[in-house]
Amino acid sequence: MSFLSPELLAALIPLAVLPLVLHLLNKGFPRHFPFPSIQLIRETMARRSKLHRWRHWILMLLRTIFLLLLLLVFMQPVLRRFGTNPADRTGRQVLIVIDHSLSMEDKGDGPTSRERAVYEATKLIDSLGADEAVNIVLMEPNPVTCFVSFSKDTGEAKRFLNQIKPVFGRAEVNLANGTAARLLSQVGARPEVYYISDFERKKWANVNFTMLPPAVKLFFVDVGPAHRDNRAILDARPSQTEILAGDTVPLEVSIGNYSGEPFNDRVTVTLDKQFSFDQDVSIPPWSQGKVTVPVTVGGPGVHLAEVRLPPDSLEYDDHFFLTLSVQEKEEVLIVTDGPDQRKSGAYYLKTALNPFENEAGSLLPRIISSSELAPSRLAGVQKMFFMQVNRLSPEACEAVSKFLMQGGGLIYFLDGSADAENLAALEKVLGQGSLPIRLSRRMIASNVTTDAQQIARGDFESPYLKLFQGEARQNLALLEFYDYDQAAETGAGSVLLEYGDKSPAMASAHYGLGTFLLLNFSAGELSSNLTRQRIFPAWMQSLVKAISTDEALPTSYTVDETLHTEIWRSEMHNELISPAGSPVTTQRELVGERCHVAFTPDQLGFYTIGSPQPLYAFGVNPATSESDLRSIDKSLLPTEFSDKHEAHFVAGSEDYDELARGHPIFHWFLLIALAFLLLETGAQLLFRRPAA
Amino acid sequence: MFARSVVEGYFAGKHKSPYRGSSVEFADYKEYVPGDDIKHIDWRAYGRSRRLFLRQFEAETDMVIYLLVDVSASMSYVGTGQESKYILAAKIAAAFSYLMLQQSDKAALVLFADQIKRYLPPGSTRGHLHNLVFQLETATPASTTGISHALMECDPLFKKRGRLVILSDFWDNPDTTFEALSRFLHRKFEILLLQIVNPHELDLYHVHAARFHDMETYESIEVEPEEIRAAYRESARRWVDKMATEAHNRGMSHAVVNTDRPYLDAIEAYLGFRGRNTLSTR
Repeated sequence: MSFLSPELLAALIPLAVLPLVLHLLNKGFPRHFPFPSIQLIRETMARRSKLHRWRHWILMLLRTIFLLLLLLVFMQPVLRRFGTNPADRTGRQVLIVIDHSLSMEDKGDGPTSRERAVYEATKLIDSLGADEAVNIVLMEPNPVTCFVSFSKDTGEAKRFLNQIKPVFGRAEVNLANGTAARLLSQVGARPEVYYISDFERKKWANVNFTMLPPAVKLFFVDVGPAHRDNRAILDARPSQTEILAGDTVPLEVSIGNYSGEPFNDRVTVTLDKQFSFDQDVSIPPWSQGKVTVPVTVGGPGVHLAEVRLPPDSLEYDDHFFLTLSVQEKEEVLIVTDGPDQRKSGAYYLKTALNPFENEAGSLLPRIISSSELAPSRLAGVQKMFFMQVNRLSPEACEAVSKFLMQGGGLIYFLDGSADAENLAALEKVLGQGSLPIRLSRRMIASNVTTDAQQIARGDFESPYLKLFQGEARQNLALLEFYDYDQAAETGAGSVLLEYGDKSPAMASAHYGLGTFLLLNFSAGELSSNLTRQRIFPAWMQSLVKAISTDEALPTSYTVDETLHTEIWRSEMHNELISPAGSPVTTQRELVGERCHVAFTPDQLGFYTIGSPQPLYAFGVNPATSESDLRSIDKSLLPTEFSDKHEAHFVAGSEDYDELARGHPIFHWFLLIALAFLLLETGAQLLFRRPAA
Repeated sequence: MFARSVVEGYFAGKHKSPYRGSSVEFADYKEYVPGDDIKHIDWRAYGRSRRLFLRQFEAETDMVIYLLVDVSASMSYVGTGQESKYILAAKIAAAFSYLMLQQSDKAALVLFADQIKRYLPPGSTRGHLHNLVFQLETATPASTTGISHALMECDPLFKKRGRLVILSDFWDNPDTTFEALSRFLHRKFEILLLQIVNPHELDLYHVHAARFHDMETYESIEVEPEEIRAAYRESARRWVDKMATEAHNRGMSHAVVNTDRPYLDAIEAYLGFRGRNTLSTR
C-alpha cells in the first residue's frame, strides 16, 4: 500500500494526537472537592467493570483510530499492484507492443481482438501523465513503430492506433522485441512494456525476452476472446501438377478443426465465380483433415478458384484462394515399330490415353515409328512412350537424350527385341551407369498359368504409383506378366516395382530436367493381362501427368510473402489489380522480352494482371499458422519466458490508471473510519448506561 | 440564646422520666404475672373483670442525657450549603441541652472524633449550659472518625444510665459502631442516632469531572459524577438504610438530619424518640 500524497503525513499526523491531547487535558483539569468520605465512591467505582475503568483510554483509542483513518483518506491511499510504486513520481516510459496478426481478427465475443487491443492501448495512453512518454510497436513480420523514439504526443499515438487495419499475416514477437530493445535502449529509468495480444500459442511458443534491458517491467494484456473455436482452410491445391482443358481436377483441401466439437459440414469450391462444387467434410475435434473436391475446369487459361467453409468467428481463414492454370490438349507420342493393328499394345495404349470419342480427352496420343524420332518432331512434345521399338539410330538416341535433358518425359515399355541394345545406346549418350536397371535375359512364359510373374514389392509413395496407394494396392495383385526381362538394379535412379525374382518391374531416373521411366513389361495382350484391367487407362494417364516435366507453379500464396513472376514485354501495360480492385505498385525489371514483376500482397483474394480475362492471377491467403487460436498457458508466460524481468499478466479489462498509480482504497479507509465512529458512539452509550 | 429560643417555643411541660414505676400519674394496665409487686394490683379492675391487672404509672424524675457530638474532619463538610454538618450538630446539641436544663434534667457532652476530644460531665445549672455551649462553639472538627473507640472511652464515664444521643455522620464501620453501642444497650441506655448528612453526600456534584478528597484520610479519587451518580445514589441510600435497619433491629432510634432541612427535624426526631421511651412499669 502507498499514498499518493505522502507529503501530507507531516501536516496531518499531529491532528491524530488530538484525542490524546483532549483526553489528557480533560483528565488534567477535574474540579476538586473535599468530601466527607470517598468510601462509597470507591465502592461504587469498584463495582464498575474493568472495561468501564478503561473507558477513557478505549474511547480515546477509538477516536484516535477514527481520526487517523480519516487523515489517511486525505493522503489518498492506494494499493500497489503489479509492483508499481504510485509514489514514484519519475515520468513513466511506456512501450505498447500490439499483436498485429491474423489471429487478432477473431471476433469470438463481439469486437475483434485487434479492436480490443486498440481500446486497451487507448486506455493505457489515457492513463499517462503529461510528463510521461509512449511509443507503439506493431508486432508484424516487419515491426512498425509509431514514433522514432518515445514521445509525449499521446494524441498522435492514439491516431496511430485508430489507423490500425486488419492484417492477415503472422506476428513475429521476437522481431518486435528486437525493435523494442532498440527503443528501450534510448530511455532511462524503468520503462514498462505492455504486450497486448491474444497470446496464441504458436506465436508465443518461442519468445525471447533476453534482448530487452533487464530493468524493463513487462506486462501482458490478454485481449483474446474467451471462446477460441476456429476452423480454417489450411491449404488447397490440385492433386496434379498439370491441368489440361476439360480435366476434372481433384482439389485437395486441408482443413483444420481447432475446436472441441467435430466439424461436419460442407466445403464449397467456386470456380471463376460461376461454378460451384461441394463436398461434405467431417473432421474430429482438434485435428486436421483432408477432403478432395473434384473440380471440372473449362478451357485453357487462368481460372480463379475460391474454397469456402461456413463462416465462423475468424472469417478470413474460412476462404482459400488459388489459381488453376489450364493448358491446351497435350500431344503424347507413342513410338512403336510394332504391327499397326487393333490388338497391338500401341493401340491399347492410345485408347487408354484418350478413351473418348473424337479424342475428346485432354491428351492427344500420336503413334509414330522410331525412325521418325528427330529433334524437330520432338520439339513440341513433352511426353512420349516407347513400345516395341526397333533398334534406335544414334541420331534418334541423341534426339531422345536432348528430349530428356530439356525436360521431356519418356516412358519406355521394355517389350521390344532391341531393348537391350537401345538401352545401351541411350546409356552411352545419357552417361555410363546412369540407367537404373541392367537387362540380362529375356523371360518368356511358356505356361501362362504357372510362369506368370506378379509384382512383389513397390515404392507406393511414388507419384507414379498413386493409384495403388492404400487399399488400391490389391489391384497390383491382379496383374500378371508373361514376358519380361530379368534385370538387376544398378543403383542409379530408383526401382519402383519389383517382381518376385527381384527383377525390377518399374524404375525411374532423372536426366537433366527430364524423367526416364522404364516399365519392364509389355502392354501387349499376349505379354500381360495389363490392358485387360480396368485400371490400365487411369494408370497410363496418371503416368503422363506425373511425369510432367514442368515445375508446378504455386497455385496460392500467403499474404506478406513477396511474389515474383514474369510476364512478356507486350503485357507490361497491364496493371496489377488488387482484390479490392485498385492498382498495386509493383517492382518491374525488364530482361529482354521478359519482365520480372515483384510485389508484396497485403490483401486476401486474387491479384490479377490483365482484364477482363486475367493473364496472370495470384491467390493470396492468410497465414494459417495462426488459425489455431488456443492461447499459451498464461500463468507460465511471465515466469517461464521472462525470468530476468519483472513481469505480470494482467486481465484485458485492467484499469491502467490503477495499474500505474495503484488501486485507490480511500473509500475503505472512510468506511472503516465510520465504523470506528459508530463503535465509539456505541461505546459511549455503553459506558454511560447506568450500572444495574 | 439559640437553644433557648428554639426550645421554649416548641416544648411545654416536663418530659417523662425513663425510670418507670416511680411516678404517680397513671399510664396503663399490665396483666399480673407471678413475681409482680402485688401492691400495684388494681382491685377495682379485678372486681369488674375478675382478672388481675397491675396499674402502671409514668415516673417524673431527674434524667441524664448524654450528647455525643462528632467532631471528626468529615463533620466540617459544608457542601454548597450555608453551614457545616458540625454546626448543625452543635445547634441541635445546644438545643437539647437547653431542653434538659429547662426540665431540671442533666446533660452531659462528649465531643469525639477517633477518641474523646472533650467531655463535660452531667450538669443542670445555667453555668453548665454556658460551659456546654462554649465547648460546642470552640470545638473544631478534625481527625478521623472512630465512634466505637470513643464509645469505649465513654463507658466508664457514663455512671448513670440515661439517654444517649449521638450526632454524627457515622462515616465509620457500622458493625464496630453498633457493637460498641450494644454495651450501652445492655446498661439500659436509650439510644438515639442522629445521622447528619449533606445532600451532596447522597447525590454527587453536577460537574463533568471531579476529584474528591477525603476530608479525613486525605485520599482522593477522580470520577465523572454523571457516570456513577445513579449507582452512588443507590450506594448512599443503602448505607443510610443499613444504619436505620441496624439501629431498629437493636432497639435504637435513628433519624437522618439533612443539612438543607431545618434542624427542627432533629427536635421532632428526639421527641418521637422520647415519646417511644417514656412508658415505665410501676
